[in-house]
Amino acid sequence: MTRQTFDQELQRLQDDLLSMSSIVEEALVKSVEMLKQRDFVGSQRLIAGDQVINEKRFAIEADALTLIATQQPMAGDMRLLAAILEIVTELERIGDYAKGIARINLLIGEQPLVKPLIDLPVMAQKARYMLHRSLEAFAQRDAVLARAIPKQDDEIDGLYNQIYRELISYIMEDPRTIEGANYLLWVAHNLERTADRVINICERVVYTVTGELSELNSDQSGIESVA
Amino acid sequence: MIREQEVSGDLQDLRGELMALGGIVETMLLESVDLLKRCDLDGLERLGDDERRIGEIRLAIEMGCMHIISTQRPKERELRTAVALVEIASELERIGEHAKRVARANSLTLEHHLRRPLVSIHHLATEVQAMLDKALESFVRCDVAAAQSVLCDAQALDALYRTVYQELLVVMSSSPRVATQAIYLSRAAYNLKRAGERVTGIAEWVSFAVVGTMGDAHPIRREPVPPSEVSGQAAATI
Repeated sequence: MTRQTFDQELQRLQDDLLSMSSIVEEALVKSVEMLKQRDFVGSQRLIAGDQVINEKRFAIEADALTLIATQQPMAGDMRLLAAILEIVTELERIGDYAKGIARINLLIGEQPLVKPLIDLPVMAQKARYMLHRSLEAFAQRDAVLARAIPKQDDEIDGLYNQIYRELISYIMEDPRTIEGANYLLWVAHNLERTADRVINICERVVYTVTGELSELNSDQSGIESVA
Repeated sequence: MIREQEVSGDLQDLRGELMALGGIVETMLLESVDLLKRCDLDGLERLGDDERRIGEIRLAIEMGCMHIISTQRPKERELRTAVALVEIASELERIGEHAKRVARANSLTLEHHLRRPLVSIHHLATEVQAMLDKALESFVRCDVAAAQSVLCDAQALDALYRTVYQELLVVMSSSPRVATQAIYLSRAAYNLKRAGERVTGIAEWVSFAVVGTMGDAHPIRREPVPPSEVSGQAAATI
């Protein structure tokens, strides 16, 4: 395989990764929107659609491994291929979080939500934006951008804490709301974990570009750090 | 023949590194709950050091495997072993992250000692550690039957987790004053449950390495939502 063909193959893999990311981003935002609209059919569709994400993961993994096995890539290209293997796993797991939120919608069923959904959709949008930017950083090999993205996690943590306190106040006022409040806490938890996985992607981008391992965790004090 | 021995020897070295990584993670799991019980905040820093070491070893294993795949072109079982090594190292790193999250709960529960749930959480941690030990051992011995038995252990772990969660729900409803602490502890328990699910992921990779197939408990089929912990009947119908 010529260098040009190898580069084309790498580019194709990267395009596949970006396309998979778009599907995951959409699933994440839609999962919360469906919860807000109490759209059970949509949630069931989203759960079934997770299989497509899983299949894409394995297809990209297989292609990356084939390229490694057949082309004997050097250090930089090897880091790039290893990064694709890592990012594809993180994307698949973020897809699982979206599926988890869809399942919570079904679990809540006909029961009314214990509070109106205002902050959770905002949290989902912010997580989606972080994810999108992290893949942009990867595509452009932009370590500066990758280092900057985790700072946005503070906003997500802030929203998580706000939702958490609000739900606790509901529980304290009326212990009968425990079940409903817990469901919504798990939704917030899944969105917060999504942001953590985006940070893993950012760390991997920095490693790919610079060859240096770095921890990009933002402030980890508070409830969010045990979620 | 020489090439095969070379591949096999290199993979064996990486397997050794994986076992060392597993040892650190197992210790971390038990220590995390110990710190939680003792409300030991200083220990958290130590776990942070462990986490960094884990990250370095994991990356070394990953790069070692990529190098073998790239330069020695292993076939069939050896190739599967190399892929499994990468995946298992990644799962171990995530289990370490779950352990750290368990320990972090201790800075949030200082005011109230919820003793009974803490005992149950300790039990959860020892179960996960035993499962991990068994899964790693099955990798070394290429023992698919032992790996599959980890999946049965996971069911028992789920049941134990549900018991802990119910205990904490009772605490929350009977004493809303400590609801916050109980929720923190529920997160600690949930992290242990997730760690257990990652161990089943490891067991599946062992099967993949040895026989080339994965069972129903493949990690991609696991879901990060607490199934049926709040409403067992409702979850069972979905």
